[in-house]
Amino acid sequence: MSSAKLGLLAQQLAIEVTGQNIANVQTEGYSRQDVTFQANTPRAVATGMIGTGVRIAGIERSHDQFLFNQIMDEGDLTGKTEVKKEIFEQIEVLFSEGSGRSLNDALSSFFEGVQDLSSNVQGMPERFNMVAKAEHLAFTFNQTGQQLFNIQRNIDFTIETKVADINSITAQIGKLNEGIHANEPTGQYKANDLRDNRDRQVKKLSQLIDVQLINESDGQISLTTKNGTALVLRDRVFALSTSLNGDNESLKDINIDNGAGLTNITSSIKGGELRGYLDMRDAQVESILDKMNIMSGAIIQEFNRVHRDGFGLDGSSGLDFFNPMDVTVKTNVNNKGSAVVSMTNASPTSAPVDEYEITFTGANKFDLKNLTTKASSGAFTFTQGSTFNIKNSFAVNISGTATVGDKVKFSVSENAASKMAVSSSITENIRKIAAGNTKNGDGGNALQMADLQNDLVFNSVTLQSGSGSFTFDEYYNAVVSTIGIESFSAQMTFRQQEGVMLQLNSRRESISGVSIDEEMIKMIKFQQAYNASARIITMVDEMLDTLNRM
Amino acid sequence: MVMRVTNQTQQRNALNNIFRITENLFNAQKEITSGKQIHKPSDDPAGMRDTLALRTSLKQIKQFDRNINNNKIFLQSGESALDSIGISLSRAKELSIVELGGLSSSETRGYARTELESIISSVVDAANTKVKNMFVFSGTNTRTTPFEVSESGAVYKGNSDNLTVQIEQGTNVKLTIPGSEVLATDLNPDLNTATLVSSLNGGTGIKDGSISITDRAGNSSTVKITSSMNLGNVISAITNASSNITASINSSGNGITITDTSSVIKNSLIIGEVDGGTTASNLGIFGKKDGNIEGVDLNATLSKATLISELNGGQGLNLGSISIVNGAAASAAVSLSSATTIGEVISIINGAASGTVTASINSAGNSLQIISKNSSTVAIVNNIGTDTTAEQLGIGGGRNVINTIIKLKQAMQSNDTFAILASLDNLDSGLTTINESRAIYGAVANRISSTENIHQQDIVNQNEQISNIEGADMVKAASEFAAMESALQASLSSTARIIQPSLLDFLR
Repeated sequence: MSSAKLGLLAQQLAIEVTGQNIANVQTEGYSRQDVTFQANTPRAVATGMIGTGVRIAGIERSHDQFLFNQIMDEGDLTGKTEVKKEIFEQIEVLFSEGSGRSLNDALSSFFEGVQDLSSNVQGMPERFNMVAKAEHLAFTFNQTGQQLFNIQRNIDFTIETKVADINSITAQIGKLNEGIHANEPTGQYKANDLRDNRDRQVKKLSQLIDVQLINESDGQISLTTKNGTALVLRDRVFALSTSLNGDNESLKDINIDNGAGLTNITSSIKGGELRGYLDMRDAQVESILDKMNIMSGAIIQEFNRVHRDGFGLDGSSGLDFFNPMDVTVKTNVNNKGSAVVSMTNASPTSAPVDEYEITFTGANKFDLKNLTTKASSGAFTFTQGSTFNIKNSFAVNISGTATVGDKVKFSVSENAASKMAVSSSITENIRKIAAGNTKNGDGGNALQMADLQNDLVFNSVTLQSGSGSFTFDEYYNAVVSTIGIESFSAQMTFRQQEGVMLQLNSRRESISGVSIDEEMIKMIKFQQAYNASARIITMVDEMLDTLNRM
Repeated sequence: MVMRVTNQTQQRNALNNIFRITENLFNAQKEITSGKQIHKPSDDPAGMRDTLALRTSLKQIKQFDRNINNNKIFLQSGESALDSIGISLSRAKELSIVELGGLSSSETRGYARTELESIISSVVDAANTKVKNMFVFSGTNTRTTPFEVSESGAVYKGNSDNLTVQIEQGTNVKLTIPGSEVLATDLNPDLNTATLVSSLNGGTGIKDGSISITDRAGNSSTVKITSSMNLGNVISAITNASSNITASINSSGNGITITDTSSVIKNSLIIGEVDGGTTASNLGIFGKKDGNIEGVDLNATLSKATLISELNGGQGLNLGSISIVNGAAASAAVSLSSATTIGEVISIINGAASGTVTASINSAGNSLQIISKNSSTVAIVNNIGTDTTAEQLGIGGGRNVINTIIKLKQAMQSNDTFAILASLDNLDSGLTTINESRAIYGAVANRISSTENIHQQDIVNQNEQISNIEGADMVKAASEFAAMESALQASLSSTARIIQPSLLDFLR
């Protein structure tokens, strides 16, 4: 009777587990559980050993650690490529030239306007038209520049949210580690649901950042990034945080609190969505934005240069057509010294449009690097407080004392795209458009401005007026096609990655997933076993009855 | 072991496939409805680049086409103006021949004079033709009336440049011929340090005033210019204003160049006006530059000191001989080859023809004129043979068409047979010049229309190329659409069937 009772209880438990499996048929990351029956320790009787019924040896979840590690590995690559693909989709909208806003079209329309003016210098409609086209070109640049900046800014916000997500996940993993450790005292029973939960969190984390998993002997796990920075050590969790980086664009770097203060780990993050966002923000979007700034800066500068040569109908000359560009100077937030660098653009029509970085090598000297061409631009010595020239264009004055290693960035084309505008002196009096080589009504200078369309003003990286090898159009078209190629490759990699993940997940499902058919079969099996055990009890009861009646 | 296909696997797989198919279906539909296969750069990066380049090139060609169409009118008006001037010249020649005949008298010559007056006004009207509010024969000074006529003759106020238009990349063609090449003479002398500022800008000169100079090191100064200065004074005044600045006459000899040698630069070189004046602008150096300021053509007028070698923008003149008729048959040829200045030319002429003519610089200061001292005779100057000295100095035939007719009118008025006879030569050479210029117009018109044809062909070709690259392949897109549609139906119905049955359906 007691072995029948054990049978009843065991089958009941098995049915309960089956019920749990069925209930979780749609639960993401749930691993089906199996009950392992074991015959009870036999009892010795005169004729030998006799069984004493059944007991539950354990409830095991179907789990393949190797497969799980694979999923985790692919997770960070998937996260990274997915981000790249999505951001490029956003960028492509700005450069989908065929429909809607088109910079290429705005640029060639502008030059058309200049040509029209050259053939009818005195025509007010032609002048209005040219200014309108120029304003449209400036507007298109403004929009593109602004949108790219917004994308960059949004990515930065997203990075902060992702850091918060990572922190909440690692905190949960820490808690789960504790829970699992507490609930598996004998090391015999497994805290299946907690482990499922922890696996789920680790998988989520692996999408966000590159992780390596170390199984500790006591059922807990430790997580590090691929280059070994610890995120979770059993129940100790190291939180990530963000802080302003040295680029002075109010963008953020990522730090980790390893107990002894903050360490910057921005560059050592190798995978996951976080890497994807960092790459997009600091490399891809930044580079496109730089190119747009260089291009608009080049247009402003070249156009102004020629425009200054000409004469308006009212005899005016030497005017800028677009607002000239000032130098933007950015002192690195991490500078230790007190040096203040002030700069003016002494040659607004011939200054290089590249971005430069000063690195102080002493109190009175610094190295100059061209960040656009990535080439060194020489070493300079200076006297504090007295003005000197850099690149024959920038009038520089440095006061205060710098500490070696302090950095200052400067550029005329910073935000040139989003700030581009037609000079108000032109818009207020269109007779001032300098279309003539003289004030007598010829169109010579307009022709020269129109010729800029075919001037080879760019080398492959930046403005090189007079000795370049690409026109404005070619430079821009190259930008667009680079975006296209990058975006296309991101889409392809993501599609592959999606395929890999799909396969891995089906593998996992095939091992750990719940099949209702299977569970129903098991239920019937357990039900019948239960019925049979109950039958034995009834039979024993009948036997006892018979005995009593005797 | 058999692969366990669980519920989640089935669902996920089904969803994935349905999404993939609907995405392809959507793309195919987009391609069909928009007629384009490139919607964003990643659809075909190289194709996108090519279409962008082609679109720019197409716009440019269309613009060149528009340049041609908008500006053909200059050629047409110039041509028809010259045509009508040619007719007038022929009529003037007819009149002269008639009035040289036996039946002519002072009365008939009086009628001829009246007719010549109306011929002159129609010639001047034609010479002052405007297109799009721009004078066709005043060079690039399109806002200046090119010819001003007074009793003494016509003077040319334009310059000797051509209006041009771009008809294809890198090719500008001349739209107009300046009056100084076809209807008058502009001796266009270069500057030297002795040139008086009062002789600049076609004789308008420069009034007393100041200019402000800011050199590239940021030093500002004001320079006073007075109307009595010569260019040498102006140049040293500017040079002395700042140690970083040097003024000089530019290499083409027609304007002032300001060179800045600041060692540390802080701003652009700026030359501006003081108190709303126009001195800097009149000196042609008004402006703002990141370098040197190249002044514009100051258009100096002639003076007696002007060197012959400075004429024609510094190219100089090769003087030969002229023949002068004044109340008598032509005397011997007057040789001017020994003259080195305008003053010497004038004194040689004054000494010739028995001292009966006065030579002088005309009121515009750009050519010479010769007047008889005797009011009853008219002085006519002819070229001798193929020599063009008289024409080049603005006193003889050839391109000096308006003055030729005016002289003829005066001859009729004075009943001066010698002068009428001598005018015939000038009328003939005038007609030749007009016809030569019409031939130039014709050549440009031909050039333009053949370029226009090429443009039309290019527009068609490039449009075709663009549609080849980005146009949808309808057959392919439609068959893809059909294939995807059936795939979608198949996967939907198979999904419906595979997801439904479970053991549960069969229990009980």
